[in-house]
Amino acid sequence: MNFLTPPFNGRAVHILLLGGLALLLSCQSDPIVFNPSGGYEYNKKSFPLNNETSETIQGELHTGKSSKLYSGILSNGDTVSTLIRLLPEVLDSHQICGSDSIIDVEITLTTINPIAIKEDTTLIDTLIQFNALKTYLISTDVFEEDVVITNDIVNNINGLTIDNSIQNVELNTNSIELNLLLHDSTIIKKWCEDKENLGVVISYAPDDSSYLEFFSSNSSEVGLGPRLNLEYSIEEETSKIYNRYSFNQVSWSEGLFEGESFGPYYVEDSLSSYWGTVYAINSNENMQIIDSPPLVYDSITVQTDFISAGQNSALVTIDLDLNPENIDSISFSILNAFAFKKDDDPAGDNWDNGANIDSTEGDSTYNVGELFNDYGIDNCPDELEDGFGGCASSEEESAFNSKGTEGNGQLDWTDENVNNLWDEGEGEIWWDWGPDWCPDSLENGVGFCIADTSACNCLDTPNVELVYDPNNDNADPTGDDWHEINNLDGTEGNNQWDPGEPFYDWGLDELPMALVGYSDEFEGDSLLNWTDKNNNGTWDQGEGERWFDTGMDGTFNEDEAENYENHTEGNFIFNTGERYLDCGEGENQFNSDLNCVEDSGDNYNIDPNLDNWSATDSTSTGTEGNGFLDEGEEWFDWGLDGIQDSLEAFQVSSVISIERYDNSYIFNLDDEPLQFTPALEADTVSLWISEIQKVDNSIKIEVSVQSNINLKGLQFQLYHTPFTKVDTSLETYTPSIAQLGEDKLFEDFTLLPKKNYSDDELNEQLLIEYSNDLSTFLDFDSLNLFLENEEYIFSHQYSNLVFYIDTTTSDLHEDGMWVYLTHLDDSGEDEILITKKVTSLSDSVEISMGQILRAYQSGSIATYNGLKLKADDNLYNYSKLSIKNNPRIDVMYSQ
Amino acid sequence: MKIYFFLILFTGIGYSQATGLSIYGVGEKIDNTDPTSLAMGNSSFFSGNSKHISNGSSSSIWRSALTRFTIHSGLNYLRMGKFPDQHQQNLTSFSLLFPVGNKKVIGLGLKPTYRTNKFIVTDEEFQFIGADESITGAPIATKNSYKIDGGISEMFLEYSRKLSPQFSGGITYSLLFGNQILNDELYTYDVLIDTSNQGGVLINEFVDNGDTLYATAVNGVMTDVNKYKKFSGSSISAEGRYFNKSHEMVLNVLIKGKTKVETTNQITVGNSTSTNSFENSATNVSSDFGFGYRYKISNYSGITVEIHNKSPINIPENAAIFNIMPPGEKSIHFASYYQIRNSKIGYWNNLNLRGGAYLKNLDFTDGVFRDVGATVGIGFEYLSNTQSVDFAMRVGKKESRLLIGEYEDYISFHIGITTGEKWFMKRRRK
Repeated sequence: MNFLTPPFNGRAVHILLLGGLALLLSCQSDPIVFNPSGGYEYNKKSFPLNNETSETIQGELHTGKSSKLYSGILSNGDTVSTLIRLLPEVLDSHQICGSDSIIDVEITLTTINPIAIKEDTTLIDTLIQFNALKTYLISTDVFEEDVVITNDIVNNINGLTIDNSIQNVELNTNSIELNLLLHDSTIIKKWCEDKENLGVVISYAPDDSSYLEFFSSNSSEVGLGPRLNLEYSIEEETSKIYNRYSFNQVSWSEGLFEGESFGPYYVEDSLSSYWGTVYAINSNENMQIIDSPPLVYDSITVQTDFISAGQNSALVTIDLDLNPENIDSISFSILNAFAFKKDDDPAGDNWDNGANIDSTEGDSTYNVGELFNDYGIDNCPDELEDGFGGCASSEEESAFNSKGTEGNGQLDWTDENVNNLWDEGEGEIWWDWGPDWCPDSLENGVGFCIADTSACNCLDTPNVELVYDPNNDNADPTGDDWHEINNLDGTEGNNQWDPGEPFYDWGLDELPMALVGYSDEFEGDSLLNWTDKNNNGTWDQGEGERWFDTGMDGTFNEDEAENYENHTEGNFIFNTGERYLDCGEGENQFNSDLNCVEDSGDNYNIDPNLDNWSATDSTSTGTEGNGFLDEGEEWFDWGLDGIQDSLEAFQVSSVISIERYDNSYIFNLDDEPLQFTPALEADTVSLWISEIQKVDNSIKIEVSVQSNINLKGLQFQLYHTPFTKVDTSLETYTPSIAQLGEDKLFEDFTLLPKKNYSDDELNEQLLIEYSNDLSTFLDFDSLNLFLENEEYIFSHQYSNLVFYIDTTTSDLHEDGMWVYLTHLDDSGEDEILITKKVTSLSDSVEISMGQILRAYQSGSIATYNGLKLKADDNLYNYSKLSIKNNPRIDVMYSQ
Repeated sequence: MKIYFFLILFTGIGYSQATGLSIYGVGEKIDNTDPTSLAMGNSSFFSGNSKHISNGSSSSIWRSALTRFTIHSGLNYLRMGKFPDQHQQNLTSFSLLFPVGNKKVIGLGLKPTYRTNKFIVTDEEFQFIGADESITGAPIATKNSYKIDGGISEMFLEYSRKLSPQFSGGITYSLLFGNQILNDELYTYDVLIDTSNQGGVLINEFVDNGDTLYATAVNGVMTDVNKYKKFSGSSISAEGRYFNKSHEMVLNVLIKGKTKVETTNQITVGNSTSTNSFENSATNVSSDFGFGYRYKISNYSGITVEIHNKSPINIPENAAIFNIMPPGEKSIHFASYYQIRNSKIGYWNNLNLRGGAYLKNLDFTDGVFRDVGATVGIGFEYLSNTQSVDFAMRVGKKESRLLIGEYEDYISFHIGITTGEKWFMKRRRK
């Protein structure tokens, strides 16, 4: 059948159909923006704790596997010490057991907190009571880290510490080092041969409640646990590279620079990459040997030409001491050779009346841009000014003092007791009297003013008809701030609602009708519906209608006066403009008339001769630092580059290369003196070894130079091919080891017996302790049934496990405590679901549960069978968390 | 012509849409896609063409001995006060009917049954949980957006035969299948009300006791909920037809099995995703009844009336969009037709004119919503009535379930193309 018969094969029909199709597909609907009924609605549900099935559980573990070790007096008053036991069976495989000599054996313990202050290697101060630190080397019983420490174990170990004190203990910033070899010279033998089980006990008995905290061998921090630092020697065959000679002397060749005392300079240190570098130059250095190569040319001033044009002569003679090894030949060469050509004006900036009239160096005229000392007309920098217009020779002798506090224009005050007011001994005195420098009692009531050099609108004697804040500068403009002593009747900030204080009359939902479109029960009833649930006297969310503790006037201080920024009297803050005495921060800096006492050493003075120019003072006539050359200021006619000709000689522009020809000089020690004469090129600077000869056990090398131009100096490096030899020598090793392969070298323990709680002690208590392996099992009523509904969508943000801390029985370290929420997985092991840090200041804890509940719901973790809260060794091991018996899980959910 | 079949087929599949803002149940119920019946007052049993074959009526399809391939598509435009321009393209359906004996036909096909329209619904305003109701003791603001797409399709197998000179019957078995994807974004915030805007999303600015206050949504968390719903079910219908010289009556009974819904919820918060799956089934078996009558005024014209009582699709409550269960339907349809026959031998044979009206009551659990409309249509039959092209237009007004009290005005255009081939006809050997 042929469909393409008229009228369906017409072009118009094709276009119509295809166009219609395109139109049909291109229609775009308007978005639907409205709140549909039947959308998600949120519900909340709380699951209380089932007190019958929830309990504290004590496990079998103790602190042996902890990542931390303790020695000292713990926060709960217990005294503990640390035992570190080296495992001889592990050390046995180490090289030290076969060493030829033992030089040093130390154990290093790294502390978590700094224990000493050091500058370089010098101990400046200790942060612990060093005298209370005792260390002992003892023979111990063998027990492993999963042991539960008992009183018997502790007593037994303490009994072994008598007369075994290690005296050689060194403090570092974060570690202590115990020198065991000095204590017992056979210590390695005891470990390696006798397989003795030796332990080190660290006891710390300070007179306060403090302790040392060390990283243990179980620490995840690599290398921070106990380490055995060894130094020992073993005879070994090693392949080494030797130089065939050493430098004995480098001197000018005969007839050159006779009577002169400079150079040639050279690098003698064979470990330096510049070894053998010879500087044929006059650098004004006294010592020929350059200790810190390379030689810096920038400061070298060259007066005369060093090598003349056309000169062809021996330059330097190098005496080398031969290596006593059996050497038959040496192959020399010259490397890194370059010269500095003579140039009277290397930078090309010298003034010349004829050819170079626009240049600036040496034109006897100051040109803008040339170097000058902007020290003012006294031509003296501030640091050297003597205060009388003259200049001292050193800063110590000058009147300059940038650290002085008297007259420095700022308040030097340290609020030692943090009461926000000045007290004796806290530095410069100030008065919290506002900008008029006048207390309320003396204010004359004329009004607000700003004091300059003395108080304004201020009486000499108190006004008997005292009114509040006569000059209108008080931080509490209306005087309604509550104060526990001065103003018990004040209503602003008194932590209670007073009539007249504003509140949001929005009902218990805390949302106004203007926002949500409806009003709730108590909204608009003109009564404050507030319940102070936490008894803190202020409104908190969830307590009902919000109110503001403004005082009965209904306004906070900021709104009680215009220009409130001027109201600074009595705000317990030093504000700019308030009075203070800039007399310096020391004691007795002012007399009873409040005048500064003249004393020496604390006057702030950064311009003793008073010649500094000020950018902020338009009337300043100072000349120091004004950026212009003033009469009397020294200037340098060195041109715009600021470098004088004599220092320009060794700039990069003066460097030229040196021709070295074949540059391979092989000398057989049995040969007669060897001379070299290359075919010199006349228009080059050439450098070559002209003669090599052996004299007894040394070699004398003569290096010659030919130059077609005048030179200021040159340098080169004498190089040779060293030899390699296998030696048997005593090699010294200094390893620091904590483990060998996978085996730990140490086992370590905090010696504190585990406390075994009785059932009565644990009854009706929910406790979490790492040190005694206490964890809390939490079972929440009907949570399992709730989780069976697979359609619930839990809010991550608003689904929480909430519990309250019994602060009277808890003992949390100031660093806090990590709490782990776990459950039993399919294999019966605790699986961590989430972690939470509980701080020492917390009184309640919220743990986000949305993700966990979803995991239960989806079956990605095992069926809910209760939760467990436990601690670990991450922070202080002896924190104790006691939970009140009302934990709950709050869930906000939708479906 | 073939190229247009396939263009319509593939674009229809690729851009499957439904009519109306039916954001409830599993979407818009699509009763019939055949423009011949649609033009007859949106009915099902009668078509007004030369053979009186309606693709939606199994007792009528035996009337052609040809192998018939039919495809339908259409375009819908809807407006409502708040959402003035809503365009949809109807999903294409197609069917293949072929004779299996004298006056016996078997058919199979695929058509949409319920469809949503790639709806994107965004909350216009924040919703609030007051401090007294909040789990945190502080007010919480929420705002959601929803994307809904997909629906249920029907693969059917039908058998039709003439039972006697005045009776015919047909049965249809349908497999219901399909997926619906709901991608919801749930935002929750803490509410901060202050005299200055503290950042976050500004909810509102209002004056309270002379102070201008700013309500902002802070600490927002977005929960991305993807719900994948997989529907499966079945239905069976039986239809009988009586006809004589002037009258024709049709009775249809359809039994719906319970629908099973497998739901997979994928919830993502930040980088964390969890998935859980569950299955629900409706417990009831329900049925639809339909009755139709045609009075033949002449050989070229007639009038029809149909009444239908259709129960809601059996889905579990949790599968309903916005928790609104689908409605039952009671409807009555009036129509008439007139055929202009080409007395000459030529390319075209019949020009069929159709018109009608209908009234539907959509019976939701919380009320009845009315849908009234009128239809007109025209169809050409050509090449000895073996081929036909039909057009229909439907204009209606429907009480909106989405915005109570408002009306959805809609107009839709439909096209259907039918070809007849003699593929399976027995031919007498000469």
